[in-house]
Amino acid sequence: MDADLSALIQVERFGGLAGFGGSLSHLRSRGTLKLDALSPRDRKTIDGLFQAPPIPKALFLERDAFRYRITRETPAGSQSIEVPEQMVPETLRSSVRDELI
Amino acid sequence: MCECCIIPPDVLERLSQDTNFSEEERKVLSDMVKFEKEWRKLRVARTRTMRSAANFLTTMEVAAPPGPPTVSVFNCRQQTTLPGVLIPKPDTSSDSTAKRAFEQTTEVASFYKSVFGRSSIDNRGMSLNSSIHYGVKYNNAFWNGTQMTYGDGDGSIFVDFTASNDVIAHELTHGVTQYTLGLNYTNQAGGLNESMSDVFGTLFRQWSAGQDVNKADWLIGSDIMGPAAKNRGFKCLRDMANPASNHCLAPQPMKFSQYRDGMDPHESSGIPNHAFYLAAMAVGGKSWEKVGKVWYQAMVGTPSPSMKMSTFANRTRTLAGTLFPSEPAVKSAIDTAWKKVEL
Repeated sequence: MDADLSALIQVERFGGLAGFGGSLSHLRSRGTLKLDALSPRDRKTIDGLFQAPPIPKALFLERDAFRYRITRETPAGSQSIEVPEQMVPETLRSSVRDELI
Repeated sequence: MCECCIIPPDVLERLSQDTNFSEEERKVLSDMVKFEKEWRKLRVARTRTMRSAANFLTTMEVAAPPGPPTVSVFNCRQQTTLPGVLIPKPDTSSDSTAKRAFEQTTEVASFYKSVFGRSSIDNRGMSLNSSIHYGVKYNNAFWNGTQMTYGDGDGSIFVDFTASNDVIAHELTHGVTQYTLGLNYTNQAGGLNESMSDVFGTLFRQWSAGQDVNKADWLIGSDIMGPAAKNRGFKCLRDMANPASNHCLAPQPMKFSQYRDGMDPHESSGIPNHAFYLAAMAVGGKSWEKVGKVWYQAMVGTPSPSMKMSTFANRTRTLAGTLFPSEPAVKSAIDTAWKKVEL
């Protein structure tokens, strides 16, 4: 089934040395982009991330690295995944804007 | 493409058959599938070896190799591929970030050696590699399992992440923790992991400035605050003296009753951070000389990846008595500090 290319993808960045997005944090990093802003390759990568089983956190030795929550709309409702920065395509990484709240 | 092969094999497998990729890219992906299984085995073996070596070295008191570790700095040139291009002589570079990364990393190594007798991250003289100018206006610094990496900051909320010497010690200490306690990065162990980096980051800052506990400001990351953050009244990332303060960009809990599983480690670290502060203030003098030594010995003891905060607290209580048998005030101060944070 072809994806709806006008669908929005929401991206939120968490963690890092400064603790972005924590419950008490004054730092937020969010972005939104349309699926059609992504290359076919990036869309495939994201599809792969959504279909993959959750990765055990113990496999990652990164400390203070960012994590990204990616949310997309599907006919069955919204779906979210949380993945380490290094797995996120650059287009999504650069869609977020850091702000003070 | 992924630089460290952590994409699950089934995703790699799917991508390797995807005709949206060129033939060359599909071959790389296919090779990664084959390589991934072996790489995972190697990673598990490496972790086990590191922990065994740490045990062995502690038990046998094998002498560390003489001389300071090699310190190298790489320039990412605003890209995100690590390590970037080697800077031949960072100590004389006209790039102030390169010079600072080199000098401060060298100083952190000297701090660990002179105060704790530790030879680099692995206590075996491991080379210290740092990458600077990572990404575009990147608001972060991190340890990736083998090296330190620093962004330039966006110039608004944050400035250059090498500007705070405690940040450099914080990232390097993540490496030390990896080679010693081997703490996980979730739940209580995650909070302890972050706290080790904040504690030794601030110890290094105080040691560099020759400050006693009363002179120290106990702030984490105060020198990377950008103009927009300062204008809003933010002074630091975290404050070990008052973790819940509103002048912190990310205020933290300071009592164990506020802890919840699933908290970001940068939040839960407030509890052990504050315990260290309380103990150091009660003992007085220079924090790295007594309470810092107890914390260090607790860190280099038996590896315990899923360690609870109460276990770490008890380890420091025991060590305080062992290391300072003629100074019961040290043990008493540490015991009282942990009790004040409900541990």
